[in-house]
Amino acid sequence: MECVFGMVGKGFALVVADTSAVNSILVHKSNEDKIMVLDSHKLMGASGEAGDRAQFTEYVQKNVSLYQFRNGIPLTTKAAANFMRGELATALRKNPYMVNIVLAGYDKETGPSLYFIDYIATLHKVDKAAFGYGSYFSLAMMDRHYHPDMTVDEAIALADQCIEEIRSRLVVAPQNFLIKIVDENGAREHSWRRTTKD
Amino acid sequence: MYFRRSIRSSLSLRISDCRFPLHTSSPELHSCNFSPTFNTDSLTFSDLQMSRRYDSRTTIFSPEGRLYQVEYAMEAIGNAGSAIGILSKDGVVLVGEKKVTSKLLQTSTSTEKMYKIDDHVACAVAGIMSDANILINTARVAAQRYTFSYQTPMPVEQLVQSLCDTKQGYTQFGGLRPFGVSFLFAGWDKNYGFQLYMSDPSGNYGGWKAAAVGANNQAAQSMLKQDYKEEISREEAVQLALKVLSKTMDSTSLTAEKLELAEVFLDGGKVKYQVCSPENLGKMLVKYGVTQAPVET
Repeated sequence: MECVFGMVGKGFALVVADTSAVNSILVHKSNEDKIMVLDSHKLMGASGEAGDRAQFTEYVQKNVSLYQFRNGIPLTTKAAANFMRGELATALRKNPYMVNIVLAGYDKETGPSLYFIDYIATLHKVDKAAFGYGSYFSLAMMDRHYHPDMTVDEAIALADQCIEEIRSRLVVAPQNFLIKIVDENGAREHSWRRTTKD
Repeated sequence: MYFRRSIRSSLSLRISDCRFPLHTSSPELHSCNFSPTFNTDSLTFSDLQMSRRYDSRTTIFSPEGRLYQVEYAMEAIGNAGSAIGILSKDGVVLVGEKKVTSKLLQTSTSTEKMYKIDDHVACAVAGIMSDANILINTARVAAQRYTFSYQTPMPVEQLVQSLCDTKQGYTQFGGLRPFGVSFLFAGWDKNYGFQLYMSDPSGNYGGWKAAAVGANNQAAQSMLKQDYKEEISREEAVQLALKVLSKTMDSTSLTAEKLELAEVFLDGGKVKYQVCSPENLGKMLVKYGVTQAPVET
């Protein structure tokens, strides 16, 4: 089942997500990208109902770029996180989106940052965050081994440990994982961790 | 056909004699058509006929391509107490002239012309105060709404733009009168630092280093152009603003009761809006030597 997590290191933040599209006991697809590149310096890892996830992440992405076109300046990661929270909070009392979000971003003034946003519109600024069944393992692993000022190599090694733990302990472990990273040079794909071919 | 021709001739006359003389000589940052210089003295007979035909309609162009009601709104501001804004390297200065309408009128304890929109933006008003109150309220709502959405202070230009969108709406949508107000906005944001904007009833706005609205704004504008220096300090800006206001005001002597002075600046990394007390203002007027009878320029 779903595993989305992220952490902040020294001058960067990374988001890891499984890439399985699942319905009931059936795996439809094992290369589904669940980490949207919101703008040049923002990553939005999302877990939850597949349709809501697609709808909400695209809605946010389009709003973030509309803001940039209108005003000539990008939203900060903080502003984007609060915007998402507001949208989820409004939807919550009407027809809630079933999505949980790990938002990673890099801003010139504040450096890298990570935000935890769940479907009931909780917003936390954190160093490490996780959603889904994988969170039971990845959170524990990050609690044990995470430290601020991690280098990219250290953080990737920790992410690999998390993935390893999920694969060995979770009954319904997904096959493939995708790692994306954001730093001063922008948001981009880092690498895949595959056990099956597409 | 004959009728049309008479319009043409008056149009060419107008463009040559009184339209748009201002912005080549003004110290502006970006380009904008800010020229409330419609002069009723120079109207010809056919002009007056033409304006009578179209001036009751705010949202309809005259055959000359003008919106008379908008021009009249600008005219109304030309009679209001003036306000001057100056951008300096460490803050923005706003000064305004209060028109004393009656001796019996209780002088208000708070400011009449300066309003704080948000923690980082303030504005000075010239024009119809009742109209201005509505717009100030809209601006405050816009600023708070933005902070509610993004938990970040609203960038100054966005605030100005949202207000000007409201103003513009009244020059295009049915049967309503435009707002008879010009604003000077002073503010600070993390992207562009200190900023000064001027807006008019048509919804035009522009960023300026020094600007004047209200009575005698052209005289003030040209004095500012002459005396403004790059890298001016806030204190020098206050001095310049008081000097220009004293020389362009209709009344003979400048007293603290007729004036308002407000500043936006950074204090320990935080934006501060400060209104000068009448006592301090009085002292400042003496210090800068503006309380003497004004010298002709």
